[in-house]
Amino acid sequence: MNTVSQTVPPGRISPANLDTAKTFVIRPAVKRVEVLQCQYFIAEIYNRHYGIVFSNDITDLDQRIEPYPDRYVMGLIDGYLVAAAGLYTRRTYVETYGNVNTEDLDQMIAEAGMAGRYSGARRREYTKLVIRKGYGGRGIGKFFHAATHTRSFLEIDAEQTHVLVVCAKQSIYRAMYPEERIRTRVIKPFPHYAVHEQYCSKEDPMDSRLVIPSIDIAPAWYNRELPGEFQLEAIYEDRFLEA
Amino acid sequence: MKTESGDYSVRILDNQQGVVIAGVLRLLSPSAYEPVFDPIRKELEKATGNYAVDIADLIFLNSSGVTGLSRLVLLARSHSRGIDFIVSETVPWQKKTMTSLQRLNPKVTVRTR
Amino acid sequence: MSNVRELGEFTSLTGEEPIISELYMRFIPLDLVAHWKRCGMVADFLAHFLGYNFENKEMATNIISTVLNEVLENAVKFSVDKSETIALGLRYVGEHIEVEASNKTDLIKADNLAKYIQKLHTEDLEDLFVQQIEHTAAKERTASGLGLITLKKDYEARVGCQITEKAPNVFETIVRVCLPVEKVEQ
Repeated sequence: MNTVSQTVPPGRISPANLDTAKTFVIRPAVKRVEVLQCQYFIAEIYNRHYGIVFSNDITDLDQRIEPYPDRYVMGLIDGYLVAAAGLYTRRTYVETYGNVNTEDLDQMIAEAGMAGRYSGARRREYTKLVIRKGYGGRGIGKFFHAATHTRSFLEIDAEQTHVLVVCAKQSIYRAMYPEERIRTRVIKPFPHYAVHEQYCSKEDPMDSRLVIPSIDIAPAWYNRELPGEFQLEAIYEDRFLEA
Repeated sequence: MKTESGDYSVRILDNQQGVVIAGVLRLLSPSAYEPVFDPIRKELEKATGNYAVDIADLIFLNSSGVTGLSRLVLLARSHSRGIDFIVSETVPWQKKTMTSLQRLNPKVTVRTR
Repeated sequence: MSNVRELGEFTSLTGEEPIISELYMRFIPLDLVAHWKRCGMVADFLAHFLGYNFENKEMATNIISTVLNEVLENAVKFSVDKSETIALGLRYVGEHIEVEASNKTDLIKADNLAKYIQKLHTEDLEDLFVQQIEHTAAKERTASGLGLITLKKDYEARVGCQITEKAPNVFETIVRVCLPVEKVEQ
């Protein structure tokens, strides 16, 4: 009984001829098949790198089973999914596993003077950013991360405003969240779980952070509409201009 | 008290008489069974005699579930009590597996409904 | 040439006996973990399919589904890279039902499988059953380790495995369970 090999579908751009591709499309996953593609893509990478799997029926961090995000955004080159990220819109990871509660968030929102506009009870979490092997190292990941911090994705299907929470290791905050683009506010350190042993360390621990979108995300990014088409050349050169 | 999921039901009888488990139980791991067995364990702790576990209508139970049942048997043993398993002749695995559990606790009985 | 070990009772009757029915399916473990009920669904479908070959269809289906479910659950749980396909096969050959599953795993799990299969053939099965329960009850474990013991003990199944080293720390394991038809007819 042979295993099926996972190869690039015929006719698709593969890393070897990435230079021939011109545009990078970013759009929320809407159709059921797009959601499934994102789920599979995220699960494959998380399982390979961290030994984590995802389930729709059970979550158990001790068994390395995490909940799937509720919404997804896709990054496509020539129709091929090369980047994805998720959003927890119902229960967030930081509240389920990070001991973050509504009061913690309300206090920080009030301290920022935004109590009228935001509430700790209305929160979503950006999560599970993944880039396909062979497509990293040229700025696609950083650009995708920045471009998906937009109202079009973060407030998708929302009737009211939401604060954003994030859970990541400190090196990720330093690399991906420059203050001038996305300011993060530390809520509290994230507790230790064996499931994260391949992800973080004592020297690079995880913490839960808050982002108040209207004041913490640079308007040029927050107000950029999705779906969007972006010139890859500009991404590589760090110019971030729209096609 | 009755708990139901789409596939199985757990009906705990009054006065620590016992429990009726029915349907299909094929959960991922022994720890996934904790929410199913914890309420039963609590009742078993309070029982004074043998505790009845009726699984006659439990069509499938995977090996992780057998582990869960065996923990009930061990819990009863720690209180010098037994479990009375009520099984069905028409569900092949039941009599065989419950009879094996007798080796864990001599006060376990197995009878058909 | 890759290193291949066969342990327990692995030899298939295919080739010696006529094949009456056979079915093979391949799965991505991630798919089965995503909705765990899929394991039971597959086991039930294949068991119902083969159940038509028996007098007491209901009884046979229950037994075959029980065997399939255990073998499939193990293949998923013991796959290390869960995006690597696993395979499940079911055959009615001669007077036996053969169920087999293959998956890829690492050295530690492959060695544990080898030891486990050896124990199945050298120790008393009722003792082994009790030992395994006490062992699992003592610590939190992902898998109960009871599945194959129960199949051998309760259905007189022949159980064996083949372990093939594919690459450093990558082993393909095939677990095969062979039940006499009279045990399924009951």
